[in-house]
Amino acid sequence: MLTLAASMLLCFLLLWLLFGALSCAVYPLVRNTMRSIDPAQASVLLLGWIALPVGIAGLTCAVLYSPDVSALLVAGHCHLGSCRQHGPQSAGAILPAALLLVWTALRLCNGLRSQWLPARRLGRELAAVGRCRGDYLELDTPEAAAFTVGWWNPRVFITAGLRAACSPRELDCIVLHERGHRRRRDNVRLLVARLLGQPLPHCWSQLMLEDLKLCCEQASDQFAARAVAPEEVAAALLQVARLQGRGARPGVLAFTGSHIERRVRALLDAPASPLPGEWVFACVSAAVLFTLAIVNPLHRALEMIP
Amino acid sequence: MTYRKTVRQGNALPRLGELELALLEALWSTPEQSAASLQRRAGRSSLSTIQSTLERLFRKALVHRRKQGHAYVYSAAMGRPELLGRLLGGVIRQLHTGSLDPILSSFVDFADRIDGDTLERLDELVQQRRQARLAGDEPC
Repeated sequence: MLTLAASMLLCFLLLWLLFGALSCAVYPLVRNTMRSIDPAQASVLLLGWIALPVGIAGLTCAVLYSPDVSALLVAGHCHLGSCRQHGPQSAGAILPAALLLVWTALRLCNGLRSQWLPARRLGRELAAVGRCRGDYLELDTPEAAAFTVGWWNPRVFITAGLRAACSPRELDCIVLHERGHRRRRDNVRLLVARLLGQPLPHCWSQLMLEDLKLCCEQASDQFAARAVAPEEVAAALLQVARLQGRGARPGVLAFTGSHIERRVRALLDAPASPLPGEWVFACVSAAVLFTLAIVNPLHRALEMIP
Repeated sequence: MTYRKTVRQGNALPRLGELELALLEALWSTPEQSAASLQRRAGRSSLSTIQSTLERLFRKALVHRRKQGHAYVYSAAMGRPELLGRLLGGVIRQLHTGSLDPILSSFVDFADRIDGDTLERLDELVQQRRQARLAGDEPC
């Protein structure tokens, strides 16, 4: 029983890591497509792309270790005279499975510890000192900032400095944008994406996470632009960028490449069209077919582990 | 760099829990209160919870206390504006360094710099679109 559980776990974790590395390596090829489609759909597809390795690993293991299903996919063979259906097992899997499990669990716990709890604490602290202004809480500081904190019930915070420096119309755009984040649960979306990328080196998944963040921002921009004109949201973005640029501390900030220009241009250009449903269906089908196709060779490969 | 590390390095104000903030609020509105009177105001928490929370606040140097009979009487060590300033100062500092990015969504990232020329060019573009929309909206 222990051998079976360890083999199953090793198979799942190895596939997760392997497909995770593969998805990071292949992502630059699909990146342009992701950036050219509707950002709300792109954020869902990107999260799906990031979740694909763990999904395929889980599905493959479920098929591999389910006798009824694997009977259809694995070529019949016998071990020591026993020819009944079986999942691939190896006594040598126990130690590597335990090590990989500890590594993955530590990485996931570290991700949760460094994001989930601090955000809850920060949200509570700021909510306690913020002044309620209807849709948002105002923070009494002259710096210009607007942000959303929290996971399930995120709160919008806008500083008094930003409120004083922005026109009511710009403020409306900011509040609408942040409301978009709240409605779309963008913080949870980003947290899940970061957690799914935890077992891999951060630099591998960084590009996908940055793009996901940009997609979430653009989707919230579009959300705001549905209620007010897109030019007004773009003007509010530029105004806040100008205010925050003024407050920048030299030597502290690193130039990371501007998302503002891309967001402003996306608002002013014609809205990007979503990827046709047939394409999405074809991609999901390809992933499922790929999973089924690797079951037989994987079964043989796992049985070769001493 | 994790959020936790930066908090340790950059934010001088110790972290505060919900009840700790609630007790400070109570002490700001009515200075010089005992644990029992604070517990009557807080209601939902037991006296021992209030006492241990006050002890934590005392260790964080956020409340003063003096003995009155058998009990301590507490008062806030700093005013609301000072605590608010220190708390928000820490948050803004972390916003600037980008260490809060993983746990919040900013309208515009502080790390997202844009040069003056690009800003002007985009501004012009926005103005052109505004004028075009207004011209399009005008009745023929």
